Amino acid sequence: MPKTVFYRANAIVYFQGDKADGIPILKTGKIELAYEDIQTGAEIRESIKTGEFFGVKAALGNYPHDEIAMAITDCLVIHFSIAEFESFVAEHPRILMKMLQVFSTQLRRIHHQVQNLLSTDRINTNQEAGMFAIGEYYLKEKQYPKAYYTFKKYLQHWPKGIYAPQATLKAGIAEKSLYGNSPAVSEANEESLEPPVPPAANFDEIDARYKMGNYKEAMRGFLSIVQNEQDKAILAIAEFRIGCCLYHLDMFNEAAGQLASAIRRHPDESFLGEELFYIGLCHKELGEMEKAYNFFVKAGNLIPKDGPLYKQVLEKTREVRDMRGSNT
Amino acid sequence: MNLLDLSKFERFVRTFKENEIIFCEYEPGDTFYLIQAGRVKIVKIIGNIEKIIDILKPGEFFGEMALLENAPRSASIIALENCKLLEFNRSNFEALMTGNPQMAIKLLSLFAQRIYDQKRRFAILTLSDEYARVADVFVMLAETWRLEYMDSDTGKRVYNNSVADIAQWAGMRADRCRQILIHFQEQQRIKVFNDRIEVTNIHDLVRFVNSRRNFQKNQN
Repeated sequence: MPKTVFYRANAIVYFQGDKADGIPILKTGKIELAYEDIQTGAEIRESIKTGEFFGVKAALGNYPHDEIAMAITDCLVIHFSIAEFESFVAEHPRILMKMLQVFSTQLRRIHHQVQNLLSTDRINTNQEAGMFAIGEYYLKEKQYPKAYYTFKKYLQHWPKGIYAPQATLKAGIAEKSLYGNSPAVSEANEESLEPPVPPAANFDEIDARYKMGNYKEAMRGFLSIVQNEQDKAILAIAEFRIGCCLYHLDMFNEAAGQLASAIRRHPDESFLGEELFYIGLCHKELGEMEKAYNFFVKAGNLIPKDGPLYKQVLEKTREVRDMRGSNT
Repeated sequence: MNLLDLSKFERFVRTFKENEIIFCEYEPGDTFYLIQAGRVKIVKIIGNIEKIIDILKPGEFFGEMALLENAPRSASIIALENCKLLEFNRSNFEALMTGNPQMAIKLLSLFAQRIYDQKRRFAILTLSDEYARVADVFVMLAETWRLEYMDSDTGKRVYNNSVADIAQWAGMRADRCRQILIHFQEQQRIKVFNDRIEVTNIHDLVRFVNSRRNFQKNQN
């Protein structure tokens, strides 16, 4: 049986940090909850209406109260055990639904606050790139059903996404490995599969789109070149350009990764200085000034001093030089 | 649960075979699930390793954040064995919950825990001192451990977490987090191993975090 307890004005019903045993409901009088705002530390007070349960979250979540409950006037409080509370709300679905709504609003709010703080630190990986990367992981691990699922879902959500041509190709590889009567397709004969993407348009056309600032379109074009082209020199520049497109599409982490792997695959290209410059730009955007500075200096040593890019490199080098200490 | 409820549920039953993906990290989602039979694993691909974060049993929910918003899934869910799940979405959930108070109470408890977890995470992220943020991650993780393990407590704690895990909770990039961990290691507050991180004395980290938090409060 729930038991009724009388509290005098100024008495404490429970303290912050107390283990919640049971759930109180205010019958008569006035009760206030007081707690500190997580962000500012300022005290927040909230009054409880008669007929309202309080301290429910701590009791149901099985953690200590994160607020103090004080009687402002003389009060009558009915204490329910958790089992009593559960059977009470089970018979009052409207109260239950109201509580679910209140809790879900609170959860949504706090979830947003957390996400906001996280995104200012730019650690949220791009959703599209993230999902594509998972598909690639499963394909590499030869877990074909999972790879197939992931690429298919990717294409379902982003049919015109930047990785769509690659996802189509790789979903095909995963599917053939799944249903084909031959054993799993190895990396080596991936190229022998007919690519389901249209053949590459000519390089100059795609590069023109890039120069006009159509980065998404240009990126798709460069991706199809990468999948179809045999000429090493064209491959190298297409891979470099994909990195530039990612940079212009504000995907700085991905851009830096793409550029670094382009350099690894094609280390001796004449545009190495330009590639390093773009990696520097990515680090600058990511707030990594020390790294940006180092890349700009390296780029400056490689880029011809009479070319148009050199001035830009010098400018950026100066810009980040003075910002370096600020983020360490 | 009476017969009527069961028949009402049949429409929402979905089955998954062992090792099948139920949903994938980053995938947009608007459904959430209650496990009827079988177990599922929650995994994330971190670096080049598929890491199991948790295993869920019959009676447990997952994907419930989809009820609140169309946020991308924060982890992948994979069937550990053949599974029978109830699949809900925002439009049918209220009717289902009203008809099934036990399930609603379970969800209410889950929300209560999630609110607490998120508040705790938020408290870490509001620390402006990056060192305190990293230290508070260890404090938070230790708080969830059972008290009975802490008898005759020397304060030593062992974490099977990677630097990337810690960095994510602390809201910073992994390379920055690593620098801070190295700094703590030089102070002999922690030891970083390939497969684990050991905290020498958690009470020392609690004191450190509290002093930084109080300092920050007084600045405001």
